[in-house]
Amino acid sequence: MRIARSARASIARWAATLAALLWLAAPLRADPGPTTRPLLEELNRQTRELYRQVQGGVFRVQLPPPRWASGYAMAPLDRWGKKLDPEVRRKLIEEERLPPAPGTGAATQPAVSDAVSLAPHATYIVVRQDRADDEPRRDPLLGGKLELDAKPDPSFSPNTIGLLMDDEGDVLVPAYVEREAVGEQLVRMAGSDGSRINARFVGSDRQTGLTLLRAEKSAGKPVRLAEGRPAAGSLVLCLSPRDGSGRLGLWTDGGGESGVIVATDGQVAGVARYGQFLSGSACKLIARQLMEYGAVRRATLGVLITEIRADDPLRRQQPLLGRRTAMRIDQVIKDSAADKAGLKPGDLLLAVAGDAVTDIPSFAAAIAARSGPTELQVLRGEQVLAVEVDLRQQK
Amino acid sequence: MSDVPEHDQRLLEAYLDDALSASEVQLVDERLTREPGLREALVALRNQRAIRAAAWQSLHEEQTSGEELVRVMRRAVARHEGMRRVVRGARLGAAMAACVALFCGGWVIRSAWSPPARVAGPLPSRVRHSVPPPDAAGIYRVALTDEAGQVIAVQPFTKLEEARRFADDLERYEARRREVRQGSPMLVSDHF
Repeated sequence: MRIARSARASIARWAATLAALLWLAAPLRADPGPTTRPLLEELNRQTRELYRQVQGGVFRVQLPPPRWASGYAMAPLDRWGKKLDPEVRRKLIEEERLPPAPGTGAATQPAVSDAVSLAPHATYIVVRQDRADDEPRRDPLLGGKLELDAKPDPSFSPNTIGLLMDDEGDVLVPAYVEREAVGEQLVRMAGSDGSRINARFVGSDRQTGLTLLRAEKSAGKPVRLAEGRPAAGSLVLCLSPRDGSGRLGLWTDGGGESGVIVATDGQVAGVARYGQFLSGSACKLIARQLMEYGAVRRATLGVLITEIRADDPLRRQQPLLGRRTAMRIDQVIKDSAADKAGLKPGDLLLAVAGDAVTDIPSFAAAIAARSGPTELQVLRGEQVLAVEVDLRQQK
Repeated sequence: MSDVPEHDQRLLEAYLDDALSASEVQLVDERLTREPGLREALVALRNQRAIRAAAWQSLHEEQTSGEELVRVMRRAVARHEGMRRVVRGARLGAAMAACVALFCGGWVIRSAWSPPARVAGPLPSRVRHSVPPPDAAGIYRVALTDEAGQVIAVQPFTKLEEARRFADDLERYEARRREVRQGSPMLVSDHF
């Protein structure tokens, strides 16, 4: 018995010594060569395939600078309009590339206050983007980039992208530019193969931040638009509006994404803008109205609405709101549809006809889609109310 | 012994140590004659001292002289003081190490932490528009600069306050231009 025990101990000691030697000798073993990652390779292949599938309907677009952006920048100088030195005024207008104000005839003497007025009641905030130019080119894996082919051309500097909506050449751009800013000039575009196409302005909508162009000739394959928003945590391809490059990533349904969101089935899920999201079906609805009327004929409620962002201090004062998306009614115009329905300043709008409204663009699309008696869900104090409002579409 | 008040015990200790003045000794002697309890306490205290002295003697038989005892005591005190110095030094060192570790940890966290994406507000100003001193005619000239910082136009003012207000507005304009160029504008409030 004692012998067997000592033999076992001896075997254990030898085994331990052998294991230690093997562990120490591990770094000395020959390099097994490059390892294969079949799953990542497959992901890589499918990402490229998805991008190729959608890029046939994506254009790079050179839009003229919108007036609202110039107005936003020039607003601090509004009060100096009449006191500005003519040379200072001329240089400011040159910098902003503003057209001369109506009736002035020359670019040297426009009234700055006329040219820079902001769209009435519209308030913008600017979310700073990461500088894509500084980023190194990486493989198109998760977090990598796929880019549209574009031949270098100094005369063509695209600043956004457009989605081909149909075989008629209608191109929806996820950016807002006014009709007056484009005028009769042709908008230059480039297809994914680098071919140049000119387009004309059809219409635009400030509230949803969309512009519709019509290409002079049809080219490319129209994109397919999805109905709802992607499920949080699902893989999506995000097309950058800056240069059309694509990145495969996880959809967080939060404030981190910006661009055209493509689901894994190749359908365009919608447009994301750092917390705002306009679904593919909402884009289709707005595009249809722009095609038909050149503008969106949405009903007028008679309210000034402000989005309650994730960092809004109101969330601390209103615990019932929690993380729920909502919009605050800041002002109700007397005798308007909202006033007649009993809406009050301070009410928080939660849903339109049962659909949660998450931000200004989605609310603008929801209102545009409806007319007649419509139920709004409202949080007032600690009560959730259902308010029926009569929406009458503009003629 | 236990039923004698504490101050009487201290008084008896001093009495036995010859630490009292002549008048105090006389008072204690008078009380000892009058108070049997105090007398018993004195006897008990003497007995205790004798027992302790005997025990001490048995433990340190070689230390027969008072000088030897003092030496032993001094050595013990020196040992104790040395230990205290070592412990104090160790505590000081540990505190300093903790401070260094906290500083390094904070530095690493600060380096790794990136500020959250800014939602709104002006970008840091790249070009500062200052109001230079007035020229000989008393005119304040505020310069409009291009992207490279070159002066492209000058706006004159006769009043310093007005020139300062314009310079501030010009700076806000520059900041907003950079925001629009580098950022992604979003509509967050509108009439419906």
